[in-house]
Amino acid sequence: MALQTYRNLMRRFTLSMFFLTTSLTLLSILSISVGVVSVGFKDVVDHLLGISSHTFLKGIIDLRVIRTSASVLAGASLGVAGVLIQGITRNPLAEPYILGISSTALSVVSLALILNPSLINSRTEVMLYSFLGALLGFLFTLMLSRLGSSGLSLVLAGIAVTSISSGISHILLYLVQSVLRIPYVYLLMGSTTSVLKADIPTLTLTSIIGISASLLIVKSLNAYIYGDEYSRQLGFNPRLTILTAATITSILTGMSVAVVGIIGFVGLASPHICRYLVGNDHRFLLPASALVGAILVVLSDIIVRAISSVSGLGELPLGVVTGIIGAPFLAYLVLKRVRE
Amino acid sequence: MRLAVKNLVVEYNSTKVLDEVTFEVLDGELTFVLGPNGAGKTTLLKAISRLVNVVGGSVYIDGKDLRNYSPREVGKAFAYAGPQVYRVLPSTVFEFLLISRYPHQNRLQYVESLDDIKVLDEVVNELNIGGLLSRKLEDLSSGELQRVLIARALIQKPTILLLDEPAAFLDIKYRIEVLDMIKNLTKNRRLITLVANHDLHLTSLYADRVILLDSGRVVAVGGPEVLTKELVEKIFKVRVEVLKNCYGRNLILPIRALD
Repeated sequence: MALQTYRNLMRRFTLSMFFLTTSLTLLSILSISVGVVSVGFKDVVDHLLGISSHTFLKGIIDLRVIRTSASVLAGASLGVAGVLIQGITRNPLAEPYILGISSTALSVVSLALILNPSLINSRTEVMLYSFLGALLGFLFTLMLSRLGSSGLSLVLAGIAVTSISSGISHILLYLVQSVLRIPYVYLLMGSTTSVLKADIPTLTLTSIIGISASLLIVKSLNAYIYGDEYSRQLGFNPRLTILTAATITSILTGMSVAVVGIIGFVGLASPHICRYLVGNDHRFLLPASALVGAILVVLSDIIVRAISSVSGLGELPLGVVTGIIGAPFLAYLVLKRVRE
Repeated sequence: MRLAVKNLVVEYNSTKVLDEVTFEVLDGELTFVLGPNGAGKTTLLKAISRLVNVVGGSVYIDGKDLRNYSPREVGKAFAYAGPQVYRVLPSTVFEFLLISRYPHQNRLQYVESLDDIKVLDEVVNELNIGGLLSRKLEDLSSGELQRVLIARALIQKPTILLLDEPAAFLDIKYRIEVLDMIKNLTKNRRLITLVANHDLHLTSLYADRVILLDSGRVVAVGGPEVLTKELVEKIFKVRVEVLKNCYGRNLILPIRALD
Protein backbone atom coordinates (compact mmCIF):
# COMPACT_ATOMS: atom_id res chain seq x y z
CA MET A 1 0.00 0.00 0.00
CA ALA A 2 2.55 2.55 1.17
CA LEU A 3 5.14 1.15 -1.22
CA GLN A 4 2.75 1.64 -4.12
CA THR A 5 2.10 5.26 -3.07
CA TYR A 6 5.85 5.84 -2.80
CA ARG A 7 6.51 4.35 -6.24
CA ASN A 8 3.77 6.50 -7.75
CA LEU A 9 5.37 9.57 -6.20
CA MET A 10 8.76 8.68 -7.68
CA ARG A 11 7.27 7.89 -11.06
CA ARG A 12 5.40 11.19 -11.15
CA PHE A 13 8.61 13.03 -10.29
CA THR A 14 10.71 11.26 -12.94
CA LEU A 15 8.12 11.75 -15.65
CA SER A 16 7.60 15.42 -14.76
CA MET A 17 11.32 16.14 -14.73
CA PHE A 18 11.71 14.48 -18.12
CA PHE A 19 8.77 16.38 -19.57
CA LEU A 20 9.91 19.71 -18.08
CA THR A 21 13.52 19.33 -19.22
CA THR A 22 12.40 18.52 -22.75
CA SER A 23 10.02 21.48 -22.82
CA LEU A 24 12.69 23.83 -21.51
CA THR A 25 15.18 22.68 -24.16
CA LEU A 26 12.69 23.12 -26.98
CA LEU A 27 11.55 26.50 -25.68
CA SER A 28 15.14 27.69 -25.36
CA ILE A 29 15.82 26.82 -29.01
CA LEU A 30 12.58 28.55 -29.97
CA SER A 31 13.63 31.56 -27.93
CA ILE A 32 16.87 31.79 -29.90
CA SER A 33 15.03 31.57 -33.21
CA VAL A 34 12.28 34.13 -32.50
CA GLY A 35 12.76 37.87 -32.95
CA VAL A 36 12.76 40.66 -35.48
CA VAL A 37 15.01 38.49 -37.64
CA SER A 38 13.80 34.94 -37.24
CA VAL A 39 16.32 32.14 -37.49
CA GLY A 40 15.26 28.63 -38.47
CA PHE A 41 15.23 25.86 -35.85
CA LYS A 42 17.83 23.89 -37.77
CA ASP A 43 20.19 26.86 -38.09
CA VAL A 44 19.98 27.43 -34.33
CA VAL A 45 20.82 23.81 -33.52
CA ASP A 46 23.62 23.76 -36.11
CA HIS A 47 25.15 26.89 -34.62
CA LEU A 48 24.88 25.66 -31.04
CA LEU A 49 26.55 22.40 -31.99
CA GLY A 50 29.23 24.36 -33.90
CA ILE A 51 28.43 22.69 -37.22
CA SER A 52 27.76 25.85 -39.24
CA SER A 53 29.31 29.30 -38.84
CA HIS A 54 27.38 31.88 -40.79
CA THR A 55 28.78 35.18 -39.44
CA PHE A 56 25.62 37.28 -39.73
CA LEU A 57 23.47 34.64 -38.07
CA LYS A 58 26.17 34.01 -35.46
CA GLY A 59 25.93 37.59 -34.18
CA ILE A 60 22.17 37.36 -33.76
CA ILE A 61 22.28 33.91 -32.23
CA ASP A 62 25.00 34.89 -29.74
CA LEU A 63 22.92 37.84 -28.54
CA ARG A 64 19.86 35.67 -28.13
CA VAL A 65 21.79 32.96 -26.35
CA ILE A 66 22.69 35.57 -23.72
CA ARG A 67 19.04 36.63 -23.33
CA THR A 68 17.84 33.07 -23.17
CA SER A 69 20.45 32.02 -20.60
CA ALA A 70 19.52 35.01 -18.46
CA SER A 71 15.82 34.04 -18.67
CA VAL A 72 16.54 30.43 -17.73
CA LEU A 73 18.74 31.38 -14.76
CA ALA A 74 16.52 34.16 -13.45
CA GLY A 75 13.42 31.99 -13.88
CA ALA A 76 14.97 28.99 -12.11
CA SER A 77 16.11 31.22 -9.24
CA LEU A 78 12.68 32.78 -8.84
CA GLY A 79 10.98 29.37 -8.99
CA VAL A 80 13.21 28.10 -6.17
CA ALA A 81 12.91 31.33 -4.17
CA GLY A 82 9.12 30.99 -4.37
CA VAL A 83 9.16 27.45 -2.95
CA LEU A 84 11.55 28.43 -0.15
CA ILE A 85 9.57 31.45 0.93
CA GLN A 86 6.25 29.58 0.85
CA GLY A 87 7.89 26.97 3.07
CA ILE A 88 9.35 29.27 5.70
CA THR A 89 6.26 31.45 5.95
CA ARG A 90 4.05 28.30 5.79
CA ASN A 91 1.94 30.34 3.44
CA PRO A 92 0.91 29.29 -0.07
CA LEU A 93 0.36 32.96 -1.03
CA ALA A 94 3.96 33.98 -0.38
CA GLU A 95 6.28 34.99 -3.20
CA PRO A 96 9.36 37.30 -3.45
CA TYR A 97 7.42 39.88 -5.46
CA ILE A 98 4.24 39.81 -3.37
CA LEU A 99 6.21 40.01 -0.11
CA GLY A 100 7.97 43.17 -1.27
CA ILE A 101 11.39 41.54 -1.47
CA SER A 102 11.98 42.32 -5.14
CA SER A 103 11.00 45.97 -4.92
CA THR A 104 13.08 46.71 -1.81
CA ALA A 105 16.03 45.12 -3.60
CA LEU A 106 15.50 47.49 -6.51
CA SER A 107 15.08 50.50 -4.18
CA VAL A 108 18.40 49.81 -2.51
CA VAL A 109 20.06 49.35 -5.91
CA SER A 110 18.69 52.63 -7.23
CA LEU A 111 19.67 54.46 -4.04
CA ALA A 112 23.19 53.07 -4.37
CA LEU A 113 23.28 54.19 -8.01
CA ILE A 114 22.33 57.75 -7.07
CA LEU A 115 25.00 57.92 -4.39
CA ASN A 116 27.63 56.32 -6.57
CA PRO A 117 26.84 56.35 -10.32
CA SER A 118 30.03 54.49 -11.24
CA LEU A 119 28.51 51.43 -9.57
CA ILE A 120 26.74 50.63 -12.85
CA ASN A 121 30.04 49.31 -14.21
CA SER A 122 30.22 46.51 -11.68
CA ARG A 123 27.28 44.13 -11.87
CA THR A 124 28.66 42.10 -8.97
CA GLU A 125 28.44 45.10 -6.65
CA VAL A 126 24.94 45.85 -7.90
CA MET A 127 24.02 42.26 -7.03
CA LEU A 128 25.43 42.70 -3.55
CA TYR A 129 23.28 45.78 -2.93
CA SER A 130 20.31 43.99 -4.43
CA PHE A 131 20.85 41.06 -2.06
CA LEU A 132 21.02 43.37 0.95
CA GLY A 133 17.85 45.11 -0.21
CA ALA A 134 16.08 41.77 -0.59
CA LEU A 135 17.06 40.68 2.90
CA LEU A 136 15.96 44.01 4.32
CA GLY A 137 12.61 43.79 2.53
CA PHE A 138 11.95 40.30 3.87
CA LEU A 139 12.71 41.32 7.46
CA PHE A 140 10.58 44.44 7.08
CA THR A 141 7.59 42.52 5.76
CA LEU A 142 7.93 39.88 8.49
CA MET A 143 8.04 42.56 11.19
CA LEU A 144 5.01 44.35 9.80
CA SER A 145 3.01 41.13 9.47
CA ARG A 146 3.65 40.12 13.11
CA LEU A 147 1.03 42.74 13.99
CA GLY A 148 -1.65 40.53 12.47
CA SER A 149 -1.87 36.80 12.85
CA SER A 150 -3.59 35.36 9.79
CA GLY A 151 -1.78 34.13 6.70
CA LEU A 152 -3.29 36.97 4.74
CA SER A 153 -1.64 39.55 7.00
CA LEU A 154 1.73 38.56 5.55
CA VAL A 155 0.45 39.25 2.06
CA LEU A 156 -1.10 42.56 3.11
CA ALA A 157 2.17 43.59 4.78
CA GLY A 158 3.96 42.60 1.58
CA ILE A 159 1.63 44.73 -0.51
CA ALA A 160 2.31 47.70 1.77
CA VAL A 161 6.08 47.22 1.54
CA THR A 162 5.88 46.74 -2.24
CA SER A 163 3.85 49.92 -2.70
CA ILE A 164 6.19 52.03 -0.59
CA SER A 165 9.40 50.72 -2.04
CA SER A 166 8.25 50.61 -5.66
CA GLY A 167 7.19 54.25 -5.25
CA ILE A 168 10.63 55.05 -3.92
CA SER A 169 12.41 53.12 -6.64
CA HIS A 170 10.24 54.81 -9.31
CA ILE A 171 11.44 58.22 -8.15
CA LEU A 172 15.05 57.17 -7.69
CA LEU A 173 15.23 55.35 -11.02
CA TYR A 174 13.65 58.34 -12.75
CA LEU A 175 16.45 60.46 -11.33
CA VAL A 176 19.24 58.12 -12.42
CA GLN A 177 17.81 57.32 -15.85
CA SER A 178 20.68 59.08 -17.59
CA VAL A 179 23.20 56.87 -15.83
CA LEU A 180 21.37 53.66 -16.61
CA ARG A 181 21.03 54.29 -20.36
CA ILE A 182 18.02 51.96 -20.41
CA PRO A 183 14.35 52.82 -19.86
CA TYR A 184 13.73 52.34 -16.14
CA VAL A 185 10.43 50.61 -16.81
CA TYR A 186 12.51 47.62 -17.83
CA LEU A 187 14.06 47.39 -14.37
CA LEU A 188 10.73 47.92 -12.64
CA MET A 189 8.94 45.22 -14.59
CA GLY A 190 11.76 43.08 -15.86
CA SER A 191 13.50 42.68 -19.15
CA THR A 192 16.36 40.66 -20.61
CA THR A 193 17.32 43.28 -23.24
CA SER A 194 19.97 44.89 -21.03
CA VAL A 195 21.76 41.67 -20.06
CA LEU A 196 25.42 41.64 -21.10
CA LYS A 197 27.59 38.70 -21.93
CA ALA A 198 29.77 39.48 -18.92
CA ASP A 199 26.76 39.02 -16.61
CA ILE A 200 26.20 35.39 -17.52
CA PRO A 201 29.08 33.79 -15.52
CA THR A 202 28.12 35.63 -12.29
CA LEU A 203 24.48 34.82 -12.88
CA THR A 204 25.25 31.14 -13.48
CA LEU A 205 27.50 30.84 -10.46
CA THR A 206 25.09 32.55 -8.05
CA SER A 207 22.08 30.58 -9.16
CA ILE A 208 23.95 27.26 -9.05
CA ILE A 209 25.21 28.03 -5.55
CA GLY A 210 21.77 29.19 -4.38
CA ILE A 211 19.88 26.26 -5.85
CA SER A 212 22.36 23.63 -4.61
CA ALA A 213 22.34 25.17 -1.14
CA SER A 214 18.56 24.97 -1.11
CA LEU A 215 18.75 21.26 -1.97
CA LEU A 216 20.68 20.73 1.27
CA ILE A 217 17.82 21.97 3.46
CA VAL A 218 14.92 20.18 1.76
CA LYS A 219 14.39 17.71 4.59
CA SER A 220 14.46 20.35 7.31
CA LEU A 221 11.91 22.33 5.26
CA ASN A 222 9.70 19.25 4.95
CA ALA A 223 9.63 18.93 8.73
CA TYR A 224 9.39 22.68 9.34
CA ILE A 225 6.18 23.31 7.38
CA TYR A 226 4.11 21.27 9.87
CA GLY A 227 5.23 23.31 12.88
CA ASP A 228 8.31 24.03 14.99
CA GLU A 229 7.57 20.99 17.17
CA TYR A 230 7.96 18.66 14.22
CA SER A 231 11.15 20.34 13.14
CA ARG A 232 12.71 20.08 16.60
CA GLN A 233 11.72 16.55 17.41
CA LEU A 234 13.11 15.28 14.12
CA GLY A 235 16.49 16.75 14.97
CA PHE A 236 16.40 20.04 13.05
CA ASN A 237 16.71 23.59 14.26
CA PRO A 238 13.72 25.60 13.00
CA ARG A 239 15.47 28.97 13.37
CA LEU A 240 18.43 27.78 11.37
CA THR A 241 16.07 26.53 8.67
CA ILE A 242 14.35 29.93 8.40
CA LEU A 243 17.64 31.80 8.40
CA THR A 244 19.24 29.63 5.71
CA ALA A 245 16.17 29.64 3.49
CA ALA A 246 15.69 33.42 3.85
CA THR A 247 19.32 34.05 2.95
CA ILE A 248 19.14 31.82 -0.11
CA THR A 249 15.87 33.46 -1.18
CA SER A 250 17.43 36.90 -0.84
CA ILE A 251 20.53 35.89 -2.84
CA LEU A 252 18.45 34.38 -5.64
CA THR A 253 15.93 37.23 -5.75
CA GLY A 254 18.61 39.90 -5.38
CA MET A 255 20.64 38.44 -8.19
CA SER A 256 17.73 38.21 -10.58
CA VAL A 257 16.57 41.76 -9.76
CA ALA A 258 20.09 43.11 -10.33
CA VAL A 259 20.34 41.55 -13.78
CA VAL A 260 16.84 41.41 -15.27
CA GLY A 261 14.80 43.64 -12.94
CA ILE A 262 11.58 42.69 -11.16
CA ILE A 263 9.70 39.77 -12.69
CA GLY A 264 6.60 39.23 -10.60
CA PHE A 265 4.44 36.16 -9.95
CA VAL A 266 6.89 33.55 -11.28
CA GLY A 267 7.71 32.63 -7.68
CA LEU A 268 4.01 32.11 -7.02
CA ALA A 269 2.85 30.33 -10.17
CA SER A 270 5.80 27.99 -10.48
CA PRO A 271 5.56 26.27 -7.05
CA HIS A 272 1.83 25.78 -7.45
CA ILE A 273 2.17 24.25 -10.92
CA CYS A 274 4.77 21.91 -9.40
CA ARG A 275 2.67 21.03 -6.36
CA TYR A 276 0.12 19.81 -8.86
CA LEU A 277 2.75 17.89 -10.86
CA VAL A 278 5.04 16.30 -8.24
CA GLY A 279 3.36 16.88 -4.86
CA ASN A 280 4.58 18.91 -1.91
CA ASP A 281 7.72 17.13 -0.77
CA HIS A 282 10.48 19.76 -1.09
CA ARG A 283 12.95 17.17 -2.36
CA PHE A 284 10.87 16.94 -5.52
CA LEU A 285 9.21 20.35 -5.46
CA LEU A 286 12.45 22.39 -5.56
CA PRO A 287 14.08 20.93 -8.69
CA ALA A 288 10.74 20.87 -10.51
CA SER A 289 10.04 24.48 -9.59
CA ALA A 290 13.46 25.54 -10.88
CA LEU A 291 12.52 24.08 -14.28
CA VAL A 292 8.99 25.50 -14.35
CA GLY A 293 10.28 28.95 -13.30
CA ALA A 294 12.78 28.85 -16.15
CA ILE A 295 10.09 27.73 -18.59
CA LEU A 296 7.74 30.56 -17.53
CA VAL A 297 10.36 33.29 -17.98
CA VAL A 298 11.69 31.92 -21.30
CA LEU A 299 8.11 31.63 -22.54
CA SER A 300 7.33 35.21 -21.46
CA ASP A 301 10.50 36.44 -23.15
CA ILE A 302 9.43 34.71 -26.38
CA ILE A 303 5.96 36.26 -26.16
CA VAL A 304 7.44 39.72 -25.56
CA ARG A 305 9.62 39.47 -28.67
CA ALA A 306 6.89 37.91 -30.78
CA ILE A 307 4.57 40.81 -29.94
CA SER A 308 7.29 43.32 -30.70
CA SER A 309 8.19 41.74 -34.05
CA VAL A 310 4.52 41.65 -35.10
CA SER A 311 3.62 45.15 -33.91
CA GLY A 312 6.93 46.71 -34.94
CA LEU A 313 6.99 48.59 -31.62
CA GLY A 314 9.49 48.28 -28.77
CA GLU A 315 9.43 45.35 -26.38
CA LEU A 316 7.02 45.11 -23.47
CA PRO A 317 8.54 44.49 -20.04
CA LEU A 318 8.61 40.81 -19.01
CA GLY A 319 6.69 41.44 -15.81
CA VAL A 320 3.61 42.32 -17.86
CA VAL A 321 3.46 38.83 -19.33
CA THR A 322 4.38 36.93 -16.15
CA GLY A 323 1.78 39.02 -14.33
CA ILE A 324 -0.91 37.93 -16.78
CA ILE A 325 0.17 34.30 -16.36
CA GLY A 326 0.73 34.42 -12.59
CA ALA A 327 -1.81 36.79 -11.11
CA PRO A 328 -4.78 34.43 -11.69
CA PHE A 329 -3.01 31.95 -9.36
CA LEU A 330 -2.98 34.60 -6.64
CA ALA A 331 -6.64 35.40 -7.26
CA TYR A 332 -7.58 31.72 -7.06
CA LEU A 333 -5.58 31.11 -3.88
CA VAL A 334 -6.93 34.21 -2.15
CA LEU A 335 -10.50 33.30 -3.04
CA LYS A 336 -9.94 29.79 -1.69
CA ARG A 337 -8.56 31.18 1.59
CA VAL A 338 -11.33 33.72 2.01
CA ARG A 339 -13.99 31.07 1.45
CA GLU A 340 -12.48 28.96 4.24
CA MET B 1 14.26 0.70 30.56
CA ARG B 2 13.62 3.54 32.94
CA LEU B 3 12.74 7.16 32.34
CA ALA B 4 13.59 9.36 35.30
CA VAL B 5 12.57 12.99 35.57
CA LYS B 6 14.27 14.93 38.35
CA ASN B 7 13.34 18.38 39.68
CA LEU B 8 12.21 19.62 36.27
CA VAL B 9 11.46 23.37 36.20
CA VAL B 10 10.01 25.23 33.21
CA GLU B 11 9.16 28.91 33.09
CA TYR B 12 7.14 30.92 30.59
CA ASN B 13 7.80 34.66 30.98
CA SER B 14 9.30 34.00 34.42
CA THR B 15 6.19 32.28 35.82
CA LYS B 16 6.77 28.68 36.76
CA VAL B 17 4.62 26.28 34.73
CA LEU B 18 6.46 23.22 36.01
CA ASP B 19 7.80 23.29 39.54
CA GLU B 20 10.31 20.65 40.66
CA VAL B 21 8.57 17.80 38.85
CA THR B 22 10.06 14.43 39.80
CA PHE B 23 8.94 10.90 38.89
CA GLU B 24 10.07 7.63 37.32
CA VAL B 25 8.34 5.37 34.82
CA LEU B 26 9.21 1.95 33.38
CA ASP B 27 8.81 0.44 29.91
CA GLY B 28 5.67 -1.55 29.18
CA GLU B 29 3.65 0.74 31.42
CA LEU B 30 0.97 3.03 30.10
CA THR B 31 1.30 6.21 32.14
CA PHE B 32 -1.37 8.88 32.22
CA VAL B 33 -0.45 12.48 33.00
CA LEU B 34 -3.66 13.76 34.51
CA GLY B 35 -4.67 17.22 35.63
CA PRO B 36 -7.11 20.06 35.04
CA ASN B 37 -6.54 22.65 32.29
CA GLY B 38 -3.37 24.64 32.83
CA ALA B 39 -1.85 22.06 35.17
CA GLY B 40 1.21 21.75 32.90
CA LYS B 41 0.47 18.41 31.20
CA THR B 42 1.46 19.50 27.69
CA THR B 43 4.47 21.42 28.99
CA LEU B 44 5.65 18.33 30.86
CA LEU B 45 5.55 16.18 27.71
CA LYS B 46 7.31 18.89 25.71
CA ALA B 47 9.92 19.47 28.41
CA ILE B 48 10.75 15.76 28.57
CA SER B 49 11.38 15.64 24.82
CA ARG B 50 13.19 19.01 24.90
CA LEU B 51 10.63 20.82 22.74
CA VAL B 52 10.55 23.60 25.34
CA ASN B 53 13.50 25.00 27.23
CA VAL B 54 14.07 23.68 30.70
CA VAL B 55 15.22 26.08 33.40
CA GLY B 56 16.28 23.45 35.92
CA GLY B 57 16.38 19.73 36.56
CA SER B 58 17.03 16.97 34.09
CA VAL B 59 15.72 13.87 32.36
CA TYR B 60 17.52 10.52 32.41
CA ILE B 61 17.03 7.49 30.19
CA ASP B 62 18.51 4.50 31.99
CA GLY B 63 20.64 6.86 33.99
CA LYS B 64 22.00 8.71 30.96
CA ASP B 65 21.41 12.45 31.09
CA LEU B 66 19.38 13.68 28.12
CA ARG B 67 21.66 16.71 27.84
CA ASN B 68 24.32 14.37 26.47
CA TYR B 69 22.05 13.36 23.57
CA SER B 70 22.41 14.99 20.13
CA PRO B 71 19.19 16.37 18.58
CA ARG B 72 19.06 13.40 16.23
CA GLU B 73 19.44 10.92 19.08
CA VAL B 74 16.58 12.69 20.85
CA GLY B 75 14.60 12.29 17.61
CA LYS B 76 15.21 8.55 17.66
CA ALA B 77 14.36 8.16 21.35
CA PHE B 78 11.26 10.36 21.65
CA ALA B 79 8.20 10.97 19.55
CA TYR B 80 5.72 13.62 20.59
CA ALA B 81 2.25 13.71 19.05
CA GLY B 82 0.55 16.99 19.85
CA PRO B 83 -2.96 17.91 18.83
CA GLN B 84 -1.76 20.48 16.29
CA VAL B 85 -0.23 20.55 12.85
CA TYR B 86 0.01 23.41 10.36
CA ARG B 87 -2.04 22.46 7.34
CA VAL B 88 -2.17 25.70 5.38
CA LEU B 89 0.46 24.63 2.89
CA PRO B 90 -0.99 21.72 0.94
CA SER B 91 0.41 18.29 1.78
CA THR B 92 -0.78 14.70 1.61
CA VAL B 93 -0.96 12.33 4.58
CA PHE B 94 1.75 10.20 2.99
CA GLU B 95 4.13 13.15 2.65
CA PHE B 96 3.45 14.03 6.28
CA LEU B 97 4.18 10.50 7.49
CA LEU B 98 7.45 10.28 5.53
CA ILE B 99 9.14 13.00 7.62
CA SER B 100 9.09 10.72 10.66
CA ARG B 101 11.85 8.56 9.24
CA TYR B 102 14.35 11.45 8.99
CA PRO B 103 16.08 10.84 12.35
CA HIS B 104 16.85 7.31 11.16
CA GLN B 105 18.31 8.42 7.84
CA ASN B 106 21.61 9.88 6.80
CA ARG B 107 21.33 13.68 6.72
CA LEU B 108 21.89 13.95 2.99
CA GLN B 109 20.08 10.75 2.05
CA TYR B 110 17.69 11.87 -0.65
CA VAL B 111 15.37 8.86 -0.97
CA GLU B 112 13.83 6.53 1.60
CA SER B 113 15.12 2.99 2.04
CA LEU B 114 12.80 0.03 1.60
CA ASP B 115 13.00 -0.40 5.37
CA ASP B 116 11.61 3.09 5.95
CA ILE B 117 8.62 2.31 3.77
CA LYS B 118 8.09 -1.02 5.54
CA VAL B 119 7.97 0.63 8.97
CA LEU B 120 5.50 3.15 7.60
CA ASP B 121 3.37 0.45 5.99
CA GLU B 122 3.24 -1.58 9.21
CA VAL B 123 1.94 1.35 11.26
CA VAL B 124 -0.48 2.41 8.52
CA ASN B 125 -2.01 -1.08 8.52
CA GLU B 126 -2.09 -1.24 12.30
CA LEU B 127 -4.02 2.01 12.51
CA ASN B 128 -6.09 1.22 9.46
CA ILE B 129 -5.39 4.51 7.68
CA GLY B 130 -4.32 3.06 4.32
CA GLY B 131 -7.26 4.78 2.65
CA LEU B 132 -6.10 8.19 3.85
CA LEU B 133 -2.56 8.14 2.40
CA SER B 134 -3.31 10.16 -0.73
CA ARG B 135 -5.72 12.54 0.98
CA LYS B 136 -4.81 16.15 1.69
CA LEU B 137 -4.02 16.83 5.34
CA GLU B 138 -6.37 19.83 5.28
CA ASP B 139 -9.32 17.68 4.13
CA LEU B 140 -9.21 15.22 7.06
CA SER B 141 -11.88 15.20 9.74
CA SER B 142 -10.56 15.73 13.27
CA GLY B 143 -10.95 12.03 14.06
CA GLU B 144 -8.99 11.02 10.97
CA LEU B 145 -6.34 13.63 11.70
CA GLN B 146 -5.89 12.32 15.21
CA ARG B 147 -5.16 8.82 13.97
CA VAL B 148 -2.70 10.23 11.43
CA LEU B 149 -0.92 12.20 14.16
CA ILE B 150 -0.54 9.08 16.31
CA ALA B 151 0.64 7.11 13.27
CA ARG B 152 3.30 9.73 12.57
CA ALA B 153 4.68 9.42 16.08
CA LEU B 154 4.74 5.61 15.87
CA ILE B 155 6.54 5.65 12.50
CA GLN B 156 9.33 7.54 14.22
CA LYS B 157 9.88 4.22 16.12
CA PRO B 158 10.57 5.87 19.45
CA THR B 159 11.33 4.11 22.70
CA ILE B 160 9.45 6.82 24.54
CA LEU B 161 6.08 7.80 23.16
CA LEU B 162 4.49 11.07 24.29
CA LEU B 163 0.85 11.53 23.34
CA ASP B 164 -0.96 14.77 24.05
CA GLU B 165 -4.73 14.24 24.26
CA PRO B 166 -4.65 11.39 21.72
CA ALA B 167 -8.35 10.63 22.04
CA ALA B 168 -9.83 14.11 22.37
CA PHE B 169 -11.65 14.38 19.05
CA LEU B 170 -12.43 10.74 18.45
CA ASP B 171 -15.89 9.31 18.77
CA ILE B 172 -16.30 6.69 21.49
CA LYS B 173 -15.59 3.64 19.33
CA TYR B 174 -12.31 5.03 17.96
CA ARG B 175 -11.39 6.39 21.37
CA ILE B 176 -11.58 2.90 22.86
CA GLU B 177 -9.84 1.41 19.82
CA VAL B 178 -6.99 3.91 19.89
CA LEU B 179 -6.41 3.55 23.63
CA ASP B 180 -6.54 -0.28 23.38
CA MET B 181 -4.01 -0.09 20.59
CA ILE B 182 -1.73 2.24 22.55
CA LYS B 183 -1.93 -0.05 25.55
CA ASN B 184 -1.05 -3.12 23.46
CA LEU B 185 1.80 -1.35 21.66
CA THR B 186 3.22 -0.21 24.96
CA LYS B 187 3.15 -3.74 26.32
CA ASN B 188 4.32 -5.58 23.17
CA ARG B 189 7.05 -3.19 22.09
CA ARG B 190 8.09 -2.39 25.68
CA LEU B 191 7.58 1.33 25.12
CA ILE B 192 7.48 4.01 27.76
CA THR B 193 4.24 5.77 26.99
CA LEU B 194 3.04 8.99 28.56
CA VAL B 195 -0.47 10.14 27.73
CA ALA B 196 -1.59 13.64 28.70
CA ASN B 197 -5.28 13.66 29.35
CA HIS B 198 -7.96 15.27 31.47
CA ASP B 199 -10.60 12.60 31.20
CA LEU B 200 -10.96 11.06 34.66
CA HIS B 201 -13.01 8.11 33.51
CA LEU B 202 -10.68 7.07 30.64
CA THR B 203 -7.66 7.46 32.89
CA SER B 204 -9.14 5.18 35.53
CA LEU B 205 -10.04 2.69 32.80
CA TYR B 206 -6.61 2.46 31.10
CA ALA B 207 -3.79 3.80 33.25
CA ASP B 208 -1.10 1.45 34.62
CA ARG B 209 0.42 4.46 36.30
CA VAL B 210 -0.81 7.96 37.01
CA ILE B 211 1.01 11.26 37.42
CA LEU B 212 -1.44 13.78 38.84
CA LEU B 213 -0.48 17.39 38.19
CA ASP B 214 -1.93 20.58 39.60
CA SER B 215 -0.57 24.08 38.85
CA GLY B 216 2.76 22.67 37.71
CA ARG B 217 3.36 20.46 40.74
CA VAL B 218 3.12 16.69 41.09
CA VAL B 219 0.31 15.92 43.50
CA ALA B 220 0.43 12.14 43.29
CA VAL B 221 2.38 9.42 41.45
CA GLY B 222 1.63 5.72 41.43
CA GLY B 223 -0.83 3.07 40.35
CA PRO B 224 -4.41 4.07 39.52
CA GLU B 225 -5.33 3.53 43.18
CA VAL B 226 -3.69 6.90 44.04
CA LEU B 227 -6.74 8.57 42.51
CA THR B 228 -8.82 8.60 45.67
CA LYS B 229 -12.24 10.21 45.80
CA GLU B 230 -11.05 13.00 48.13
CA LEU B 231 -7.98 13.88 46.07
CA VAL B 232 -9.80 13.93 42.74
CA GLU B 233 -12.66 16.03 44.13
CA LYS B 234 -10.19 18.52 45.56
CA ILE B 235 -8.11 18.91 42.39
CA PHE B 236 -10.84 18.78 39.74
CA LYS B 237 -13.61 20.43 41.78
CA VAL B 238 -16.21 17.87 40.71
CA ARG B 239 -18.22 15.41 42.77
CA VAL B 240 -17.16 11.89 41.70
CA GLU B 241 -18.13 8.37 42.49
CA VAL B 242 -15.55 5.57 42.57
CA LEU B 243 -16.91 2.19 41.50
CA LYS B 244 -15.25 -1.20 41.21
CA ASN B 245 -15.74 -2.97 37.87
CA CYS B 246 -15.78 -6.74 37.37
CA TYR B 247 -11.99 -6.84 36.89
CA GLY B 248 -11.43 -5.18 40.23
CA ARG B 249 -10.43 -1.81 38.75
CA ASN B 250 -11.55 1.40 40.36
CA LEU B 251 -13.52 3.46 37.87
CA ILE B 252 -14.07 7.14 38.43
CA LEU B 253 -17.40 8.58 37.40
CA PRO B 254 -17.82 12.35 37.46
CA ILE B 255 -21.22 13.33 38.85
CA ARG B 256 -21.50 17.15 39.01
CA ALA B 257 -19.40 20.27 39.42
CA LEU B 258 -18.58 21.40 42.96
CA ASP B 259 -18.56 24.99 44.13
